[in-house]
Amino acid sequence: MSADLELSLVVLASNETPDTDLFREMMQVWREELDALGRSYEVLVVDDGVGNEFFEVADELRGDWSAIRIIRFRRCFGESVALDTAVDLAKGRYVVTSTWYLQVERESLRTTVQRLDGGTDFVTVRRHPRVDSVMARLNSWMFNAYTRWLTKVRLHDLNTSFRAFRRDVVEGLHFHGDLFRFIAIFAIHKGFRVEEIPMRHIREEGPSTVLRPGLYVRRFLDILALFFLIKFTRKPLRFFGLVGFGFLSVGLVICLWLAYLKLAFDESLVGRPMLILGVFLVVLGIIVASIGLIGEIIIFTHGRDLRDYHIDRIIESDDDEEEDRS
Amino acid sequence: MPKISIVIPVFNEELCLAPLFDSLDAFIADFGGAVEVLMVDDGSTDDSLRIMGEEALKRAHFRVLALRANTGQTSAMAAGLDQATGDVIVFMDADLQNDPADIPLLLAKLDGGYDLVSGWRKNRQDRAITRTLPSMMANRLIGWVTGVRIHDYGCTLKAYRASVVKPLHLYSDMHRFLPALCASAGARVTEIVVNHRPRTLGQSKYGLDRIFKVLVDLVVIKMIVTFADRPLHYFGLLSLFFLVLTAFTGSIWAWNLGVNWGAGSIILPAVIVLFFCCFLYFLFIGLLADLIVRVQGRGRSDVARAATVEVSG
Repeated sequence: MSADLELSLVVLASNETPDTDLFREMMQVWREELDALGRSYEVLVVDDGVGNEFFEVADELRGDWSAIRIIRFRRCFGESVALDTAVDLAKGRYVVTSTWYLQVERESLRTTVQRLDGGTDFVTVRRHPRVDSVMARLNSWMFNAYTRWLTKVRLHDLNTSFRAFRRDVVEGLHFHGDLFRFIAIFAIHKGFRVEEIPMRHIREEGPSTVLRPGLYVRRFLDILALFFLIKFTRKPLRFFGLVGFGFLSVGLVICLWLAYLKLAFDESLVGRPMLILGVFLVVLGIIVASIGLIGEIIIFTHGRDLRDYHIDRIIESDDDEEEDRS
Repeated sequence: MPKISIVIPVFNEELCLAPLFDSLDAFIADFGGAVEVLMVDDGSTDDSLRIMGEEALKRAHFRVLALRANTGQTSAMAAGLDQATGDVIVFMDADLQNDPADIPLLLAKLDGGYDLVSGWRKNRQDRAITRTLPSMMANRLIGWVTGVRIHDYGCTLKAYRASVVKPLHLYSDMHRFLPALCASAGARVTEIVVNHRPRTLGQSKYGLDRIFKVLVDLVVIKMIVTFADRPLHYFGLLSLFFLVLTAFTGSIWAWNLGVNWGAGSIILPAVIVLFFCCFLYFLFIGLLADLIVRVQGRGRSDVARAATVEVSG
C-alpha cells in the first residue's frame, strides 16, 4: 500500500443530525492543531447520510481548506461501513478518527501522534475525567466491564470516537454491524502494541442515553460475537462441538437411566416428562454439533485468505537489513 | 540436488537455542546440498527472538520470521511454509528432542519414491502416562479414522515434497493431521524410525487438554478429506436414514391403529414427528452446506492442486 501522506484525519458523522456550529468550531481547532504539527495531512469528512446541511457546511469549508476530502453516502450505512470506507480511501500512514464535534481536548491529536511515533501501533483514548451524565457513565462502565470480563483485555473506554492508529493495523480487518467499537481489541489480538491514554473529556453529543432495552440487547450480542470471532473463527466446531456434546451426553445419560428403569423394573415411562427432556437434549446436541460442521465447511472453503499469523519482520543475513513486512 | 528448507517453530526456547544452532551447523557442514533454515518465532515472551536474530545474522541461509503474536504451532508452521523456497520442506522441533542428523535418512527415503516421510519416535523419551500413552492412542485413532496408518502423527520431524504440501492451507491445529491431508491429495506416505532424545532444557508446552481438541479436529479432518466438496451427499444420507425411521415407525403406528394404547398412545406419533423433523433438518443443512461450497468454494481445489503432478521433459 502506498502511503503518500503522513496523516489522515477522519471525521465521522453518523446516526444523528450534526450541529453545524459545533462542527465548524471543531474543524477550526483541528486545522490549527494539524498545521502546528507540521506534517503532510488530509482530512476525510464522512457524511454517512446525515442530511444536506452538514454536507453543505463541509463543502463550504473545503473551499478554503484544500486538505478536505468529503465522502458522502446516499443513506446511513452505520459507523462500521463509514469507518471501513474511510480507512480504505485514506492515504496517510497514520489514521486519526474523530466525531463531528470536539469530544476530547485538543492536545489529544498531538499526544496520540507522538505515541505512534514512539512505536505504539494503536492509541485509544480514555475520556477522563468525564463530563457526561451519571447515567451515561454508568452505562459506559457496564459495557466496558462486561467487555473486559469476556475478552480479558484491559481497556477502560472503547466508546471514545477519538482513536489514532497506523493504517496497516486495520488493513485486512473488515467490520460489520457495530464491531468497529472493538478495533482496539482486534488489534491487540493480532499482536499489535495498543496503548490507552487518558484525555480530558470536553462534551458528549449524540443520541441521549435514556434506557433503551434494544440498545442493551444489541451491545450484549455484539460482545458475544466479538468473543466468538476472536476465539473460534478458525475452529467453529470447538465451540459448537463442546456445547452440542454437553447436551448430547446429558440427554444420553437421562435416556439410558430411563431405559434401565424400564428394562430392570418394568416401570411405565408414560407419565415421565423426563423422557421428553432426554430425547430433546439428544436431538438438540446433534443439531448444535451439525451447525459446527457447517461452520467448519465455511472456514475450509472460504477461509483461505484469513491468515492465522502476522509476520512482524524477517531477519536474515543476506541483505543484512531487518526487513519490515508489517 | 533439490534444495532443502528446514522449518523450525520456536516458542520460548531460549535455553535450547545455542545447542540447536550447533547441531544445525554440524548438519549443514556435513550435508553439502543447498539448505535454508527458517526459524519462526511464535511470539516468544523470553529472549528467544533476540538470540535467534543475532545467531541468524552471523550465518548465511538462516532466516528468522518474527510473528507478531503467539498464534500456535500450526500457524507458525504455516508462516514458515509460505516463506520457504526449497523443493523439500523438513519440519523440526526446537526443543532438541529431534536430531538434525536424521534429516539425510528422511531425504534418502523421500528419493525412494515418496512424497512424505514421517519420523517415528519409536523409543520415545517422555513420561509414559501423560505423554506417550495418550499419544499412542491418538495415533491409532487418527490412523483408523483417516486410513493413513503411520505410527507417529505427533512427531514434528517430517519431510514433505514442497509441491504436495505448499498448496495446502494450514489453519487451526491442523499440523497434526497434515499427513492425512497430504494422503488425500494422493501423496505417497511412509515413515522411518528417528532418534528421540529426552527433554533436558526448557519446558514442555503440551498438556492433557489436547484430547478434546484432537477429537474435534479429527471429526473436521475426516469431513474435509471425505465430503467437504459434496456435503449434500453425506447430510443427505443422514437425512435418508431418518426418513426410513419415519416410514418404519409410521407403518407400525398405522398397523396398530385399532389397538388402544391408553395413556401411551401419544408416544409413537411423537417419535414419528421427531424423526421427520430430523429428516428435514439434515436435508436442509445439507442444502445449506452445498450452497456454501458452490459459492466460490475452493477448499478441495487446493487439495486437488496438491495432487497435481507436473510432467516435464
